[in-house]
Amino acid sequence: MSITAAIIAKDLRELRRDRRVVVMALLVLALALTALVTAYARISAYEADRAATIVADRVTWEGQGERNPHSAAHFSKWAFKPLTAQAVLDPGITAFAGSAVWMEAHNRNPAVARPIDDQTVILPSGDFSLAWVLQVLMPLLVAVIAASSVARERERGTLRLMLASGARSEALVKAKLASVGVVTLALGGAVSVIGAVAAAGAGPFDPVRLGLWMLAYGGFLSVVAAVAVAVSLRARSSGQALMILAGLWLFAVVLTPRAAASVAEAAAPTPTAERFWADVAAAKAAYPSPFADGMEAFGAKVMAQYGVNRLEDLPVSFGGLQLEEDERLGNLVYDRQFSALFAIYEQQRAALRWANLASPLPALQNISMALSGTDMPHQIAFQQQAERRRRAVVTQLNTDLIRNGAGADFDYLAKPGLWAEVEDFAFEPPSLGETLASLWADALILLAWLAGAMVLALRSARRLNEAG
Amino acid sequence: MLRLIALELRIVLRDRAALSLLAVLVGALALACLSGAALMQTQIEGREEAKTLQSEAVQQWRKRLADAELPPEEAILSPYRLRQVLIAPLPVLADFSAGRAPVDPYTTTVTMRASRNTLFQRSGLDNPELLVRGGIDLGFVVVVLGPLVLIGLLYGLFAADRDSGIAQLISAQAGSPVRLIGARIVPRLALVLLPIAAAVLVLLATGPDIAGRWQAAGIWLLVAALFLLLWAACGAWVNSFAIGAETAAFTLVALWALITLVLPAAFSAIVQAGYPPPSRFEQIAAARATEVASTEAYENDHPEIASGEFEGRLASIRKTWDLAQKVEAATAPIDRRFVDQLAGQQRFAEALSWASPALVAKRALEQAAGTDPTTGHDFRRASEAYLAAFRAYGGGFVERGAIMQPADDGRIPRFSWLPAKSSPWAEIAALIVLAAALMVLAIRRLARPALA
Repeated sequence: MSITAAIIAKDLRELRRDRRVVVMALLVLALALTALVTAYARISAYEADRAATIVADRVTWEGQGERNPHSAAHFSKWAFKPLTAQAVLDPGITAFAGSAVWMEAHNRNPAVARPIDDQTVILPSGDFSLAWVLQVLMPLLVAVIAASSVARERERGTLRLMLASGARSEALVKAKLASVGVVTLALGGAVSVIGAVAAAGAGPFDPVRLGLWMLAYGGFLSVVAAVAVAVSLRARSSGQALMILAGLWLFAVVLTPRAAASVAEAAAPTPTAERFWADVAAAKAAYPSPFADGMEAFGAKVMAQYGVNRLEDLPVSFGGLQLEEDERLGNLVYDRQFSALFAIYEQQRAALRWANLASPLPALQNISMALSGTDMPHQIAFQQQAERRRRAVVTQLNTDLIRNGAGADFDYLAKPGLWAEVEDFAFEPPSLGETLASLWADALILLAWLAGAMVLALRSARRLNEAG
Repeated sequence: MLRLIALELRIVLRDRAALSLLAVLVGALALACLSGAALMQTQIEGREEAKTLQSEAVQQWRKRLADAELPPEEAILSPYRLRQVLIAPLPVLADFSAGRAPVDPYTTTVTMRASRNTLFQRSGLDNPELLVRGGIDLGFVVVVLGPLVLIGLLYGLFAADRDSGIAQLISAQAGSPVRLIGARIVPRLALVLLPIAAAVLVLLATGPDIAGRWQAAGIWLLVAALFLLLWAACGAWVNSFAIGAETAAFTLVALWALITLVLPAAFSAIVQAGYPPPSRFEQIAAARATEVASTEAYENDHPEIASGEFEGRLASIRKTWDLAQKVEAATAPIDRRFVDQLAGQQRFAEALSWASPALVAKRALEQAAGTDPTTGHDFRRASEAYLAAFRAYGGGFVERGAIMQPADDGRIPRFSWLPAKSSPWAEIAALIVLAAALMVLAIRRLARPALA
């Protein structure tokens, strides 16, 4: 047996005998399981609820009887956001993002029904999920395991003994990295495999996404293990190593993402809801409405288009045309205002990335949420698709009014068959390619951290000969 | 004793690891102050915007009422042109403990067309990606960071002396180490607490001048001090066992993780499983089904284009008002069931949270700050009650077919909600009892000479 293998075997035996580590590991596993079970139950209930609501609302929609299409456009339909099976692994922004959009005529409504509005417990350190266990608790457990990996050998005097017996410092460090890495990856792997099983049970999932998700966590936990071993190599005692690692954990895992969020908000402030909607209302009021100050010009244009001299002679519903023109002008306002808002979100994300100089966690969080389909780009895709569907539904209803409501306008009643022709909203999540294209910067950052942490651990080996 | 405390203070200030921890604490406090001030500024600006919108609405409204030339077919629509912007009072210490301030609505616009379910649908544009990561405020520093810094400073309170063999010497020369440990705790606790107190003073000096702010800050600081004292007592208690510094550090970090991370997470899971939140989707679908069933001729939302005549428009808004009342009455049981379910969840979560001192302290700090869930919930309920009064007022004109006159302006219901004043005395008492109990246990154990 090589000396490296012997050290690994000894370390693993010691860790297995350390009841504190075993208890902590079991606790982490139990929490991971609890997180998975609750997430699985939540997502299953959510999806069942969503499916039942769509069916019930379809019955309501189709059963509304004869009605003016514009009345139906005000009643309109709702878009409900689905949750993917991968959301079992990382709920991401789900708690803070609206999951339903009212696709009403004239108005681009925001996504509502945020779970946070109905959540009574806001945890002091992030939302409880499998990702939280892997991002917050696992690094702490790794710190506890690794803190004493070299420092305790030094305290006991066995470090000198090992070096004196011919073990090279580099081999020793590699052995320590391997033993901490084996435990870390075994625990992280067990948690991830259970997560994969839960995700498979929650619905159809993409194995490539899951594989990449696990790879990202493997990389992150390897960074943590390497840094922890480096600290243990440099610390005077295992107690000191533990305190330094607890401090680093606090800084990198707890403080940095929060500080980054505050800095990102300061760098690109989100407008207040009051200002945003007041601006929308002002912009809508500023265009010449085909129902008010723009009516004359619009009427003239329509009459010219149809070759008639009086509105009463139009072969189509002038009211319907007014509504469609009003939608067109309103949509320009919404496009401008929401593009500006989404640009602010993008600037905030760019500002958040600077936090990766202090911690690899923000990059991992971006990757984890994106691969789980629970990040901001997925949410924006949902809102944009709901908006496209809203416009399609309203145009479909306006078109019926235009074609069939000549002379009757708002007194025209469409037949119930029209409602059956209006399709439900179906969300198309961004493809894996699109998701990965938005993640390359985060993946590079994580790789850079991994390389840096390995170099740090191996360079720390040089100190062994002096301090050993 | 004072000389001993001064000596211990010098020792701590010479320790580079302790200074690093204190530097992290001071850095976090600086960030918390900046972040808190920014949140407070956003809250003030949002309210200022709302006030501006309200004063614009009032001006337009008065101009409309005073317009003697307004044709009756337009004047009859006045109830549907009236809008009131409701604004919750600024939380006294939102910059100390953000609590639910970043996610709860604090303004809303009430019109005749608003309903209970749509009242708050246009609030909150904040980026969920930032919200999910949370922010740093003084409350976070006290509940999460402060205890860990304190653990870093006092994990080896007496256990380190055991490791080095000095503990026996101390016991042999001085008998009980209780005074020594007391002298060690005081400067360490002060080094954590004083920067927090300084940050409180900075925020008080630079923040807005709100009635009751200083008093609330006093209560907030008392909770913070008691919670940190509890951790100091915990440190003394762990050190009273015959263990080394490494085991003491491990035990304290594990206790911290249990109380701050694990128990709250477990409670959250239990609350979710025991009292799952009611379905918003089901509520939406039920309201829509009711809406369609409430009227056979669903009125469109444009009375001004439905008819150009006075009688036609009056008939149109009467139908709209009638429909709104029917929908409101039909959805009331659904909404009530929803609210009851949420209230049950809230009670259950609150009862569970007593088992984690971190959650007790967090709740007490947020209660003192006016950013707790109850305050947000009360604002929503008060807004809904105001909406009912407002619609009854406007609906009266619609039912009577009366045109609003300038004199009616003074009769519009006013929104004058103030959050209930409640101080977290039960939480403060719980923290005192827990800290005192741990301290007594520690003193009794340390007084035994065999523990050295």
